Amino acid sequence: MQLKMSEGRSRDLIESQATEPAEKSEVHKKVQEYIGKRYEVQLTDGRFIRGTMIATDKDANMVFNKADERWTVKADRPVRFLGQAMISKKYVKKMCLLPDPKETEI
Amino acid sequence: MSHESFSSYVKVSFLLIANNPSCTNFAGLSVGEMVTTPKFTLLEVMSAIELMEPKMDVGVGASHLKTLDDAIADGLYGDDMPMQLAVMDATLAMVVAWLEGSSLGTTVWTNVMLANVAKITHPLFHPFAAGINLLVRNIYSLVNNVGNLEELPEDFNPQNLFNNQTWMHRRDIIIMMREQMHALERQGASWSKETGSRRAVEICTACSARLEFVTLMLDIMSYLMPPEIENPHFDHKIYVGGHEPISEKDYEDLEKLRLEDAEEQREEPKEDTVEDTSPGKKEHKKNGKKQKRKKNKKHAKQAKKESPKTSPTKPEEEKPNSSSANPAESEDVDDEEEYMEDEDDCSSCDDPAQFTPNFQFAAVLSDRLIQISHLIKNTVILGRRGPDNEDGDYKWLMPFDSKACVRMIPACFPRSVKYPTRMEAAVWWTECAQRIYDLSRLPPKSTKDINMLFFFAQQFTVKSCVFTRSLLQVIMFPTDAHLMGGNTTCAEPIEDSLKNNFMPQVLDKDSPVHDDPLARQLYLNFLNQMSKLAVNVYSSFGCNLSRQRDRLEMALEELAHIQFYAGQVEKRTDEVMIAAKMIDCKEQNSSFHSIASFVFHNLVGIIHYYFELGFRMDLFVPYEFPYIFWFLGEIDAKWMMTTMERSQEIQLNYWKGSSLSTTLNQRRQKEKQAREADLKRRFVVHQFNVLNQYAISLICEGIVKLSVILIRKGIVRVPDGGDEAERLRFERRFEPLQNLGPPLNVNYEQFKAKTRIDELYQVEMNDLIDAAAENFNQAKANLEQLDNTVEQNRTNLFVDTMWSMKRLLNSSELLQITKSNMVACRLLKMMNLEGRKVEWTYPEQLPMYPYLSIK
Repeated sequence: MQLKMSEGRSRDLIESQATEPAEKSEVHKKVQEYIGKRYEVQLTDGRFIRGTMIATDKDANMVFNKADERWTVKADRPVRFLGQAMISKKYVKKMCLLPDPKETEI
Repeated sequence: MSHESFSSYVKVSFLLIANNPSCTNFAGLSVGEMVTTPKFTLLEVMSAIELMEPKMDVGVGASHLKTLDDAIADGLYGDDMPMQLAVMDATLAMVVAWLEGSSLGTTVWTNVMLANVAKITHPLFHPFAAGINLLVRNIYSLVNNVGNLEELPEDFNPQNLFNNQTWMHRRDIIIMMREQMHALERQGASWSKETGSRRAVEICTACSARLEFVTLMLDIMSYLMPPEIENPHFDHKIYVGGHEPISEKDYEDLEKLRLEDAEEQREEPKEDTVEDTSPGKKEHKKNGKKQKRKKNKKHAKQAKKESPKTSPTKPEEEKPNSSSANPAESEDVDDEEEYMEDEDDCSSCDDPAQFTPNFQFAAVLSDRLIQISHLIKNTVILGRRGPDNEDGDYKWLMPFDSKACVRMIPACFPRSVKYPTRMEAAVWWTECAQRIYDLSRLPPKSTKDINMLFFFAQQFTVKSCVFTRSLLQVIMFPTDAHLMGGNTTCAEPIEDSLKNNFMPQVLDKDSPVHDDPLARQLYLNFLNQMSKLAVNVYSSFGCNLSRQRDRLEMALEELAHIQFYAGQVEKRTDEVMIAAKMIDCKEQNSSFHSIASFVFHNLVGIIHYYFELGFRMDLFVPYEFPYIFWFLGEIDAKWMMTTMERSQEIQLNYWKGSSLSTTLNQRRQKEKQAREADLKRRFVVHQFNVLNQYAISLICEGIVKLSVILIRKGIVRVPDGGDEAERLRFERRFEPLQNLGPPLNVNYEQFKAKTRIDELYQVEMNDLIDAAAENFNQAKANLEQLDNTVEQNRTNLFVDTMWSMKRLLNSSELLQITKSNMVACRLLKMMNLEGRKVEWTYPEQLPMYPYLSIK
């Protein structure tokens, strides 16, 4: 479902399209490939945020789900759970795609 | 999960770099276009934390977290005693900040030493940090166990620091601290000798006092709290009596032996379970009990041999916890006396034991705690001064960093933390020490009757912190619903109150109702319900004022429901008495509706406290005073007087009807005189309370009139909407009373009719002021009479505890309020109020009855 901000029409700010969703643009489809994946983002202050990207926009403001925060990549250091977090592009130093988690044997 | 290096991840940073072809993917989106997962909604993401925004992100500015090594490099271990003293005081201040409502991560754990106790090698900081760490964990466990977490909710997320760690035993930590105290003493003496300066001794004494303070707190908590609460992280031990718990393995062996004995006993002939007073049965029972006790003694001795020795810091002749100063226990005579005759030692090695607080030892220690807290307060100035004489968040001290434990702070918006200064914290600890002292002395005395029990809890919790409120709860109900772990439940003080004040037939041994099985059963049902409610209401005193108020609303409904059970007992009482031809009709019963009156009396009391909490929390605004004070005066105070007068009437009738009152038997004269003296004392107290309530009703009437005067003069503005809006406000305020039925369920029409408030808005202003002044004048006359009564009957009144004194002080506070309001009435009449500030002022002791101040 495509969400659109109002373009001057006197309706609610955020409205759902009553009709069938318009065909997504190529750009939209390309960016869509990055959604739903897990990333590690290094912020400009040195923190590492890991989370699943669930939304982004034109200005690359990214919303992550099940995000956690750490100050070092060492696995034995404590991690602070954040929940949902939003990161603006201007605070991102590096961003990496995390590999898919391996299946565990029970 | 194995570590994977950052470089092995697929970098996608190029997506975000401008002028990169792939970045144009994003730039190609239109304004406002979002690319999301299928189920994404903007509403959900409203609570997302915006990282790097200081107002939302706690982690901002925490790029370098201070460690213990950093603090040591900054000079933490330097030979600077004023600095060391400042660190200790700052740590205590952080504990205060935590208990006042901030999270652990922003207060206590900002001292890096406390999270790294094992790594500290400094002779003073190591024991101190270990002690504070244990104290915090104990308080945490106490609050967690009691469940009144409203002020500290974030800390009860899983705490990393408490998991998967082993800690030193309390005993070892206390030994360490005491050794350091002795070392400081010697050090101070030797410096003083060398330099001839008293300062050295003073500083060493000051440091030693802080250590002693922590040891006393830990010891007191160990005496007042059950071990499984006091130290849940240590060694999985089990309490079976005595002061030290035993290990799980020893307990398993003990259990095996007990099971074997139980099987052996099952093979013996069974005893009657119904209470049989025939001498033979009693003897058999006694012998059976003796055998059981001997076996348990043997098992307990065996367990004791294998258990760790008691701490050398404890006195050798230490009494077991089961022998606490509980007056209720001292009345439980028969079995205890038999037991004491048979056993000459190990009275604590009984059947698996309920923990009972050891008030005697705790009282001695808390007396010392008060002295030490005052010494700490007086020596705060010896510590290093902060920059510009400001303590701030103590970052200027080496081990403190406000972001040190940012990992501990849960995902929430940053909150401003109010850090007390070291002096403020020292004052706080002296007040806390006083509260702990009260807790170690007064709870046993407060269980005389239900009124005393609740009055004590009410007065105590008004100004106490979450720590002492929780401690009160654990002291009163350490393991289950038995008071102070003893043999009595809340049923006993309830029954005592009933018996002494309302004398229902079912409790009168000379009455046929007493022996009627159905009446007894109905009475037990009622008592059961009442006890459950009493425990619930008492446990609400562990919460903050707001939560207390919420829980009182539920208690009001339950108490109204208990009226049904009381009614059943009354009905049966009437039936039995009429059948026994003692009375012709139920109204002739001298204690007619006694139990119902008792329940009603408590209902009115709870309503009164509910409104008092509203005033303490500043919930009521002046334009609501007309109906609030109408209710408090006309309904609450007057029905309280009615129930008290009824109680007096019942007691008098009962006395007149009893054989003791008319006896001429010389042998019984002493008993008769004692009962008469007791009755006289009770009536004096009743009279005191009735006059007090009458004065309160007059004060409330006066405040209603004064409120109307202020509204008419435009000093207090009423919101628009007229009567309809006021009706809605009225109904909102009295909503919790809706289910109670008359006379407590009031409506707006009743208020209008009884107060004739519309007339008050029309009457001449001066006449209205005179009427208000007259109300206060009458109240003053009653209260002065009350005061004289107190003076004349000081030896007769129950002034055996400081809490009784506080009740008396309330009436002198009321006198001040009436006098102030009388003066205000005069000024309102004579003075032009333009440019003057006229407002209601709420006395700290009695915020429920404001006085008008004109400045």
